[in-house]
Amino acid sequence: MIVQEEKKNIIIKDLTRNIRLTNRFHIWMGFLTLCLIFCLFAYYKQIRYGLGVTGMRDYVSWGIYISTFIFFVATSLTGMLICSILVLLGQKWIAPLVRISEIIALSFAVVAGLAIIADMGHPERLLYIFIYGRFKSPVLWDVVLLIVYTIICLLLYFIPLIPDAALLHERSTDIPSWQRKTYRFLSFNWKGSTEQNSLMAKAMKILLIMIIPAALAIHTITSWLFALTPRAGWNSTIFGPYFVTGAFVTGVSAMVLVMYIFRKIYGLKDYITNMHFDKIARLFVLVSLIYLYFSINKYIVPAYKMQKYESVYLHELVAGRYAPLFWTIQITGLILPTILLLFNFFRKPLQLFIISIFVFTGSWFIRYLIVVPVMENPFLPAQNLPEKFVSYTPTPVETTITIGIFIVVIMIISILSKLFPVIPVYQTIEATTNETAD
Amino acid sequence: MEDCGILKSGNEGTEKPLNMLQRNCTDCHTGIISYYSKSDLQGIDTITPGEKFIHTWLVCTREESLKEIYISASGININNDTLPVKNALVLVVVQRYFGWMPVNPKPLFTDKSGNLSIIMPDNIKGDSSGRYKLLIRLADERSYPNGKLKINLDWGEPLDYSSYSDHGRITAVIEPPFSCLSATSVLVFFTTCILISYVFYLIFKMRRKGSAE
Repeated sequence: MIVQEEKKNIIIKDLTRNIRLTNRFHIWMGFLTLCLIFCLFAYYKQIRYGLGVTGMRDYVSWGIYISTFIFFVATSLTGMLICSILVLLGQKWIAPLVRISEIIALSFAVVAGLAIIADMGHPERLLYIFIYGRFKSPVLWDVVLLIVYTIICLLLYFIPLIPDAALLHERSTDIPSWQRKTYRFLSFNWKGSTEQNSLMAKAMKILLIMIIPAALAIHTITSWLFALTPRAGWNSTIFGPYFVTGAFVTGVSAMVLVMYIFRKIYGLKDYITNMHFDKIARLFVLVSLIYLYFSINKYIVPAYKMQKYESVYLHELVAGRYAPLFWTIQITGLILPTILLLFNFFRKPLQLFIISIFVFTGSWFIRYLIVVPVMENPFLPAQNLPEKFVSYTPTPVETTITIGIFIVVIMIISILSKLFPVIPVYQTIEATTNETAD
Repeated sequence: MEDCGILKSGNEGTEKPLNMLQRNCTDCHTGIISYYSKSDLQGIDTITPGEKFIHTWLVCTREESLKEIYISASGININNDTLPVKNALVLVVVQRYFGWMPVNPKPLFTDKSGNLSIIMPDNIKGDSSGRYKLLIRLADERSYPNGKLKINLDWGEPLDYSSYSDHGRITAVIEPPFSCLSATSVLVFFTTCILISYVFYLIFKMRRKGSAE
């Protein structure tokens, strides 16, 4: 009994180590805020002078904002994959990583909407979707589903946090009073009774099941924003599964990055072990192979037929202007990582972290290549347009705003990881107690 | 050949016996159709004055039996001489839903007299009475303003749109069953709302249990 109590204290001490608002954290947040202010100035310029300050013109009306939007939606899929599917499949090893996956899912899902607002030019135009939204339009479906998905992610993040919040309220004395009050509010009078446990389990089960169709729907409908448009390059029936599997790859790489950083910064080596990285790497190989299968299908089928407009687009991608980028990300962001991760040596934390940087970066560029080259090759090209109206290059203003959106994500992840434990404390104690009892 | 008659227009108040209509005249079934265009030619110094046209106009006549269009492009140069616009690229296109369809596969140019003739193909799809809109336009060129004119011709192949299937169209003629889709969406949306509300209910029940203890 005494041993168990000691173990419990060690777990609580280890897993709540991160919640101190240290000077380092304040400096980090101050730096991010300064960067964000600079990016907001760029956004002010866009509002003041219109979308003309971006590189988007008659041909390419969706640039890096929409690429970033689909990238964020894709990254947030990790919440569904890690948190729901693996938990429901009874994969116990995933337990310490569930909250990290939810942090990623929540922050990316919340911020994905900002990319859309940036693309609209003026923020108040978002209201038009609801005022003048058409039921027939996938844009409306996407917005509604994004809201639903974000609510589910929010609940999936906060419900397992209830016992931890109660614990933090009870045990943490050296924290500011506002922080204690927050924990008290989020603890929902948690006493750890059997009835409360069963109610929480019931709520979680509903959410874990709900998030699967919601996540699949949001990724499929995001793909329909493109696939329902008769354009060479988007006119594909496999766009839905192509997006979903691509999102798995992006989500897993994001997961590895955040896992590694949290493990390093918060000293969680005993809880996020090499075994976790190894298993995540194996999962990565699996999802990459499925994604590779859909990628090959997506390009090979139109390349074999070489219809007039498809051929122009494919040539641009494979041998034309976008060829260096296309081949670089296919090789360094998908093929090579999949091969490397077949070997034990590359499934170690640092190696996997480095590989994930390439995959995560490549994933953004894959979205860029999904959006931009297609828009540059419409069915009916306009005549006698200036060159800059035909091709697309993001402007510094546009790039700064996009960086700003990424900064907001980093800020949310930083705040959540500093306010709450990144590994579920209550569940870890329960698991340890059960192991000892067994 | 149907005659065009003579119409006049002014160049800074000077009356000239020119075969042209004013800018707003774009359609004339039986006679001459022309377009009057003016340019100040500012900033064009590389062209010799004699080649600069201040005004241009297109005159179009047609031969019904042959389905042939005759185009004559003329203009007034900077020295106030009336001259033909020779070797000018002329765009002859039919208006389509998404843009303009060229009538001739090869570029068409006026000859030394500024004339051009085209026999219109029989198989151009028109409306239910075979009517379609033809645009004749001088291509953009620095030495003259780009006059254009539009004419309605009833030389096309009549097309009954009521029985027209969706072959070859980009968009579907028949709408997808949106009513079913809307009903499903509403059902899914409300089911989701009910489930999320139920989860909130469970959370607050959990809170109440805690308070009771």
